Amino acid sequence: MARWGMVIDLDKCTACQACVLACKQENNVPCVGPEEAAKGRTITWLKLIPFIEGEFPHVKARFIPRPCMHCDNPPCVKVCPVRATYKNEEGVVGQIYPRCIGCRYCTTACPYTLRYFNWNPPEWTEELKQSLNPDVSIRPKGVVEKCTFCHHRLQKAKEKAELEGRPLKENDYIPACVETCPAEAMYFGDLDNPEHKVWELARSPRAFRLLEEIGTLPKVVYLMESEWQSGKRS
Amino acid sequence: MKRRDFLKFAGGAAAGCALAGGLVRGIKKLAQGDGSRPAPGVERWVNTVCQSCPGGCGIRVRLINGRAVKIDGNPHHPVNRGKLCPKGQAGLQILYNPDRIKNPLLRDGPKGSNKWKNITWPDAIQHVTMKLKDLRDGGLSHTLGFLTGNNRGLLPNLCQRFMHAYGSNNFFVEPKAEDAVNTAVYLTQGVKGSLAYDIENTDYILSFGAGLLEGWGSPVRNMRAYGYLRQGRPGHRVKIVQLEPRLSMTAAKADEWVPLQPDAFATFALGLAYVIISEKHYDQEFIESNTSGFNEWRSYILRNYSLSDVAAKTNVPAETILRIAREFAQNRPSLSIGDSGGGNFSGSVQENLAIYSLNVLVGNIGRKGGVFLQRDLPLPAWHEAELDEIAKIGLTFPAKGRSVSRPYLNPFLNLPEEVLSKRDYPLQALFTYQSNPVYDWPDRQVELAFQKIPFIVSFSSFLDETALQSDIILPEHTYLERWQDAPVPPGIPYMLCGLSQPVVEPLYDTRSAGDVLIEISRALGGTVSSAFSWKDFKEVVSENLKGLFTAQRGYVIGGTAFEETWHNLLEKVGWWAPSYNSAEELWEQMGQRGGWWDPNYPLEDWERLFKTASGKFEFFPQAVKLYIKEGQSIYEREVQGLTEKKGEFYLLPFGLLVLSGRDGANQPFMQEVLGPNVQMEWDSWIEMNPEVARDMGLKDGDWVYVISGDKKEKCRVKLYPGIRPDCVGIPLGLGRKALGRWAKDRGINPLEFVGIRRDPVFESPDFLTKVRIEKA
Amino acid sequence: MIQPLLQTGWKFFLIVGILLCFGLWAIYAWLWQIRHGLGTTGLNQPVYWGIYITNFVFFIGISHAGTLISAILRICHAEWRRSITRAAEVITVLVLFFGAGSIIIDLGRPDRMANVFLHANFRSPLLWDVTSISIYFTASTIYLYLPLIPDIAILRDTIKSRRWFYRILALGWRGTAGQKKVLERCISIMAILVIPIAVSVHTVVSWVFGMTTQPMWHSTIFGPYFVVGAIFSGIAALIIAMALIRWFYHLENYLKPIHFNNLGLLLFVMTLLWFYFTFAEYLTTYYGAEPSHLSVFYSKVHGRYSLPFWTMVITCLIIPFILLCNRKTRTVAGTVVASISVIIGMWLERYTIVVPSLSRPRLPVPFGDYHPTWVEWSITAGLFAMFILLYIVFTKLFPIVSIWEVQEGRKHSLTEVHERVKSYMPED
Repeated sequence: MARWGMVIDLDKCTACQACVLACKQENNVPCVGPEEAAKGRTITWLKLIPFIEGEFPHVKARFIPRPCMHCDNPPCVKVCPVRATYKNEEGVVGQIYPRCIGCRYCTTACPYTLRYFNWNPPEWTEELKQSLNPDVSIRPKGVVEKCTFCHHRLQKAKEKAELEGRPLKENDYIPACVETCPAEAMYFGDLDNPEHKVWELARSPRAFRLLEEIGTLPKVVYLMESEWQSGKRS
Repeated sequence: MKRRDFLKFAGGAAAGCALAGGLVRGIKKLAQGDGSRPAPGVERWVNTVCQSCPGGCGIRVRLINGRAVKIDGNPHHPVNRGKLCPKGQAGLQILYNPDRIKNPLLRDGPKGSNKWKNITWPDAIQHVTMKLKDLRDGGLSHTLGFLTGNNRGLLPNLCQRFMHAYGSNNFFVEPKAEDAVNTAVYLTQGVKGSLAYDIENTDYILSFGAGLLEGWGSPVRNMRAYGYLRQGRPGHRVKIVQLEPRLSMTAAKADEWVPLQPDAFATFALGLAYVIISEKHYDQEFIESNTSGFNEWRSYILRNYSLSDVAAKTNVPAETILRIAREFAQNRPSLSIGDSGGGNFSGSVQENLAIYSLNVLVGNIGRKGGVFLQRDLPLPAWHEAELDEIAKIGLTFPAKGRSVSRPYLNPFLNLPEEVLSKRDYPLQALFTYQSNPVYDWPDRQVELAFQKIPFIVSFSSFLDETALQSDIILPEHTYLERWQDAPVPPGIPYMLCGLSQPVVEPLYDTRSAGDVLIEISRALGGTVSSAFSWKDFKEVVSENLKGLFTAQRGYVIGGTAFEETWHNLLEKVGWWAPSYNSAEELWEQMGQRGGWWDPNYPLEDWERLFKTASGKFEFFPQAVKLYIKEGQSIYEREVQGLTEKKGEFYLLPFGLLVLSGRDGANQPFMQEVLGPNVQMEWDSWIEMNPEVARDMGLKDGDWVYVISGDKKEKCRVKLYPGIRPDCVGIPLGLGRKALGRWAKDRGINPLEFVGIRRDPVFESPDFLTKVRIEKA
Repeated sequence: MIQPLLQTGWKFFLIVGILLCFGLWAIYAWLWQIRHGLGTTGLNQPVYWGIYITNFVFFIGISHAGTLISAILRICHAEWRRSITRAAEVITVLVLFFGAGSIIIDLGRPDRMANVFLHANFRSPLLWDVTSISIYFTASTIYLYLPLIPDIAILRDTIKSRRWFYRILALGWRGTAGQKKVLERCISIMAILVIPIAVSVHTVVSWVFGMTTQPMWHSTIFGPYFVVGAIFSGIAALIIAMALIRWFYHLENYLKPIHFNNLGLLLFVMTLLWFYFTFAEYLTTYYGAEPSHLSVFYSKVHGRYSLPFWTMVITCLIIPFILLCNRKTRTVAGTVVASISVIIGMWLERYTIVVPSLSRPRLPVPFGDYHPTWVEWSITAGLFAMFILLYIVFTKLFPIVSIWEVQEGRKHSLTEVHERVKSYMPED
């Protein structure tokens, strides 16, 4: 059984936010508009989080793209009173929109603040409705939604592989964010499969996870920035 | 319990249950809406080219029953290899934007009143033709102007030809940020054209404020290169040094950020030159064989730019200057990139000359990992258009705004003033195509000038600020609905031609601008009509791309990696084995796979690079000597500094990747991700150093007035430690007066504070501006 | 004693009318919220929970007034309890409605409430809440009802109207010795049962927060801290209720200053206990100085939430302490003022627990700014109004002071206490 995970190389990441928008377009994530945004209700399953340290001129600004961590020990799954959020056998943490009662316990329990609530009914203009993806359902108001690692793509990839009578290959299933990343800073694959690139990268000395100390065991691994060294060249 | 009691009780209970049931049902009804799923259908992918910016990325569009639902990168396209930036991802918000112009509009009120009458295409074309005919008949053909925002590709050529055949020299291209460096290269090397940078093969990048990761050049190409330079080759990491007053995204991602004073770029660059010269790190062989005037320049530098002087002037420690200069010279090939793009309006010719000369010092012109000149596509030359008498007379009138003493200057710079002053002759009519100077050119006379021009025709797909000033709008298709060639994107050294094709049926009653222009020429008849032998713009594209076949080189993109290498290898040894046997086959394959390219380009092609009289790079160009006065320096830009007045700052209008290109503010996706460094959405902000803000009694999120001359606007302060204390930054791209529901009246436009000054030597525009900040 | 049940003046209708208006307005606000979604509230990301959850914790806390206090007093044979137990127990039963109701109001999809039973996840502390609150509600209803039976029988026999109603509820009570014995036994069993249930309820409520890893929620003392807070606010609510009853129905003879004095002393003890827990909690956070916790800590001490925080300290500690430590101010008026102060303070305490932790998440996502909207304030006001209304209606249907228990006290307790006190003494 695969254990899907993502590796994001912060040394390559250019903080361009292509992943953020690819995710929004792929997953029919609504734009809430300026008034709601001012109230802090923008929905971005994958968000670029700034870490800015130091004082001028010794400032270091780091930007971390934050999808759902798909924790192996997810705090959100435990607390959901109606089992509307779950971790499947391949490690993907999902959300059952028609079952969610909107109590927002999972959103408060998630230490990464990455679960989003539909405060209002999602809206698109008639024109923009045409660009909605038929593979992903539109969430009603009052439920929680989150990054699914583009799970619908896995289902399609599996169906396709089955049709072609072959096992799933490494790049058959890639979430929209990873697919678009211009600097090729994002990797996706089976963390338990030594043939996959992510297996190797997750074991890199540069690897770290967000809020590791909480013990959520995230399946999104980051690679630290490295340094230029004068004269070092192979 | 009595029977009566029981009945009462039971009745009450039943009523209670019914009420509760009704309540639950009522709540359900009120709460409304379980999730739904958009209608499924047949899936199809079409390759085309993104035109959200000039980056030229190949895209593939996912269609479900003819609806476009996703844009992704074309995996075979050499610029982006399947990758795409946020602007590309948001392309569907251009196509399906509810504020598109849906049919031709005729002004129905005073200019700029935004009152329009819907008209049909035949009426619209007749209206324009009548006007143009009248002008020609009155011998005023020279009073027609054409303004385009972009001079790459076939459509601008078509427009230019139209103007020529009609009989007017007034073809304008809106100034671009890279004009300054192009001018510098034109003066020193004698060549006109755009620079290309071999970023992928370089070993050290010194960027003087170039927004490498924020819209400069071809964005996805730069970001791919960035990833490659960082981790693409194990053990080989390229250093990127960003010199600019603000910790931009590029600076944040660079290895080193030097917060250089905004007017000290030239001085700093020449300080580096001082170190390189005095320590003899320069490329002696290159200098000797390919430059002239070096000795003179060397003594000029050694005399005026000693390390201690430069350190004192720029406030950068001497050790830093020394170290960077040594690193730059010793890690070759190294690139010194000027401030030419990303929407930053601060580059002057002097600065760019100084910055560019560093490349010359280390011999990085025309070499691997260095600076090149972009190559034109091998397209067929068009036959000379036949001119009638009216056109011939019209063409004797010089273009408006053209400077006699400084012929390299863009005539548009002087256009607004000339229109207003009515010198020579007034412009009677103007076409605008993909250009919005009323908003994005920091000259407040533009709007006034446009109000003076009696008849303006706009091809805009959106009601932007310039379209608002026009008399008639002939709305263009968006790029997902039209045929177009996608020529070599900026900054790329190899030849490439993408093919943009309609992926969806046009949503509205819009037309391709090329088609409309051809139709107008037909209606005008005579020699204007006969200048255009093509049926429509698609034919213009297909006929011209035949040149790629006859050139007998390059190949269609989209083979496997092996095929690509094989083709490459063959071509290098002089063979050519294309996948197509005719121009028609080439056309078909370009449509399927997205384009054609020729990855090979010659190195050390000196004849092409140096076309001065001496055939060399001229440190002190002959051309300039004609008009520079004694004691004037063509390199130095005066470091002024602030007058120490409290509340006065340099204004840094900075570019955001998501709002680079033409528009963006009208796409809600962009509005949601504007400023991750200060966590701003849907509004402008002014970045200020926290310590300065504290001295002024300002907290994060407070409102301030930004004041420059008589201009005063309110804006929200965001404290950002990554900005110099003597600078404030405002993002470009917001503060729109038009452009639809998501863009209009949101934030402020920093360009409204910018005043254009002309430098005394080159008379090129200088945008550095000071503003005052007051607590609101 | 049964006078309030027989006579109803214009004042009563006026009050009921006003309260009803509040209630109807709240219902309107709620329907508005259901129609337009929780977007009508001031909630956002990351402040996902606001004053609805504050109300939930607060109401559940108040519910401890009754059952727990009355049960403890009963078990301890505190004779002065006799005239106040009923008033206390009613608070419990009624307020639980509003506690549980607050959760339902807070739901994004109240129409899917049934999923809590259809897809119950017993790993979720919210489900522990559902379970323990239902049990608590059942137990305290029984516990309220049992001592009511003899009084209902009195009403059945004396009042002419609504006789069928009292007849059904009286369950054929005749006051025989056998019936009395069974009743007494049932009451004492319930009194013992209800205590652990009550403690569990508020512990579980605290675990809704404590079980997450959020800064300043993830605390082991949250269980007892919440229980103490609950009893604290419960007593305060009881004092206020008693004062109102006493004033409104002229029951000065039954609810004497000594009752207020005794409850005041209890409140004083709880003030100190509450302060002890609060101090321990905040000192631990401050001293441990874990950045994410400290960020929440400072937002309370001198940040965005300093106003509610310091108001809480004044109203929960300083005012009650000053008023209650001195016998001279431990009067009816004094204890009532202290109680009102505590009620306000404890609501703010719940607020400063719920909101600041959420507004300072561990990752630097935009910090939330929470301003409750008219919908939230209307519903909150409505909940309080409806609670008072139901309380008043109860006093119109049943005697708010237990008639038979007071009578029994008059008859038997003197000798009983005499016997008991004697049993404490060394034998002669």
